[in-house]
Amino acid sequence: MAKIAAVVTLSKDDVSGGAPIFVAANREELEKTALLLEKTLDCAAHQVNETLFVIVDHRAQNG
Amino acid sequence: MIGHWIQSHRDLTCVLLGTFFGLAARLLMLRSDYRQYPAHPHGLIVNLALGMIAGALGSVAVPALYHNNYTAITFLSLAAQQFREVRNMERNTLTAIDKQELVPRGAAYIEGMAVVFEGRNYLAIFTALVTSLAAMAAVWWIGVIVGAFALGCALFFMRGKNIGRVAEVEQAPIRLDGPNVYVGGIYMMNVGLAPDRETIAERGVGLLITPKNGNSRVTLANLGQRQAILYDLSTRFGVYRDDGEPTLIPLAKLSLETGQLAVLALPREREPELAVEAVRNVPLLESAVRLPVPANRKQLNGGSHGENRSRRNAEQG
Repeated sequence: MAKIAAVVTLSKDDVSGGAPIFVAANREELEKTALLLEKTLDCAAHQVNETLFVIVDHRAQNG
Repeated sequence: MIGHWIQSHRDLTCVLLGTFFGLAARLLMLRSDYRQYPAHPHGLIVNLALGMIAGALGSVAVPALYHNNYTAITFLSLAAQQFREVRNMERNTLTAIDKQELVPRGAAYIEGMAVVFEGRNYLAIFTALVTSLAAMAAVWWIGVIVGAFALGCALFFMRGKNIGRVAEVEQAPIRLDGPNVYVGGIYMMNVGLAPDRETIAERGVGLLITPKNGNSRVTLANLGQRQAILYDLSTRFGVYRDDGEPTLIPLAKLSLETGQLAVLALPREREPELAVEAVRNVPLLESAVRLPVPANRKQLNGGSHGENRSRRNAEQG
């Protein structure tokens, strides 16, 4: 099962939970952070909606 | 002079002829093609040496049996033992290499290759045995003719089926709908970042594989078969990706309604027509082939099935 490695968002109130949450000030910063996290974590960035990206580790096993 | 020698060394002639044809069979079947294995010179020597041993074992058995030395048949079981080792060896090597590939072969493909390596050695034994038998029972030149015929048979048995036999392959457009990527209407994945989307739109090749019948539908759904398709595509055209970039990995997704398989690949050399041809030539993996259609039809048409069912119901009731 894939695992969410990080969350990048514009609105902090929309998200909570176990993964590290990065709050960006604008759309440009949002994409920049997502790109940076994708490259450093060797993960894939997926766009949930206009203000929310999840960085997903697809190699992660259960547990 | 030579004829006289052959007459006086009949057993030796049989063994030599058999070994020669056994080795020739292994050599003919040992092709280095796009799968790049065994292109390595040492891998080649290992397989040729085993081919020669196979030929020698197969051909020695016949003269031994002619001289009432029946224990010679145990030679062949020794050979079988030896070739199971070959299968293990190939499996271990390929599995070890597979971890270093950008697009791995997958366990099913490796298993298929290992079985083929073992099987080809048996074909070499068979060729040697038949040649030796013909040379012993008749004369040496009959052995040569039978050997040539057995070589043809071995080549025929070696040939496997490919995807083109069971499915239609065509190009399909790649559509980007926001972060979502579709190939021919089949959802592939969600790509969050704009640079990755641009790369996919620019360099991606979309292919649609349509199964010809219910059997091939099951075959195409097999994960090992899908990985084999992706591996062959990647080997022939290269991959536009690096380690740790999961968004650019080649993908194959199934349409559950139609059974069609959509393939999204990012080849280094973008030649869609050749890619279609390459997918047609992907070997069908033995482990992926299923034949549910004939089995189900037999059960539906045969009256015995209904009787069995009513009997089972009666027993349960």
